[in-house]
Amino acid sequence: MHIEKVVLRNAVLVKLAGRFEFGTRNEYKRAIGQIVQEGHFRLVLDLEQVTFLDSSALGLLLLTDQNFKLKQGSVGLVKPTGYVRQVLELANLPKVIPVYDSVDDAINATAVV
Amino acid sequence: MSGLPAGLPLRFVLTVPPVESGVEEARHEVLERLRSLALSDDQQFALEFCVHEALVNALVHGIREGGGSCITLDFEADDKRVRVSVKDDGVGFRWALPGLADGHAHDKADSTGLGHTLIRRLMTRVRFTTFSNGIIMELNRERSGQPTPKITPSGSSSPPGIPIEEKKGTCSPSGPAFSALARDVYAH
Repeated sequence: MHIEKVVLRNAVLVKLAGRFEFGTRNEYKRAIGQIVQEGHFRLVLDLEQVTFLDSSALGLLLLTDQNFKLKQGSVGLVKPTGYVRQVLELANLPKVIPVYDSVDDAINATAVV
Repeated sequence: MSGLPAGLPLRFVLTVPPVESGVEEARHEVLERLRSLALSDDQQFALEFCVHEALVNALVHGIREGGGSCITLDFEADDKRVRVSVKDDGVGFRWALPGLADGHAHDKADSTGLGHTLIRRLMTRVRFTTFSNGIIMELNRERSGQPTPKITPSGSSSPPGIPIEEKKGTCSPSGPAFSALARDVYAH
């Protein structure tokens, strides 16, 4: 999985690409851990280029959301496509973590939380 | 490729080295076989997802947490259904949960995790087995509204005439690479 981080206004945008799954969980953990260490607690995860997402990834997303909320922060997801969106919906994740159609929408919503 | 006839039915058995790379190679092997079936995109995705989840569950709960040493995947398909069972020899599920402990396969299970929840939503039928610490997943290939065919219990023989390909690997993590394992093809 490829992970790219961009600091934008009051949030950090993390673009994920490829398979987000059990086998790539540690890459995600390291990236998010670094963001937390840097003191950022408003996170936007761009999922547009994610091609596969499993229950390990769902668990990590829920854990990230929980941890960021504990720090009065927030997490938003952007543009999951195809079966990635289907898996998120099957797991009812959008009821817990908001899903946005664009990075701008997510940044704007995240900034006012 | 497999050396199997191009048409259905199809059956193969994989012994998966109990490490992440072994699980990954087994997933690729299944994907390759799925492409030989005339499945819809949704069916192909459902099977890819559920096989991945079952293998990871076996690795994490059966091998790492459950003290097991071996994962076996049994894949069977005909024109009506695809059935995949994944089992391990570890402790696995918490059988003390109500409805899981009487030694038979079940259609219901509680508190077995998000992966299992998604598997149950994507597959036509899911059963958990105590006697082999495994999961049996079945996807109906027929149109909705038609009856789901009866499936045979885990471990039973295939109907006569179905060729079985078996990849006998080692259960040792330090064993040979999955793709390099010896392959035996025989009619059952």
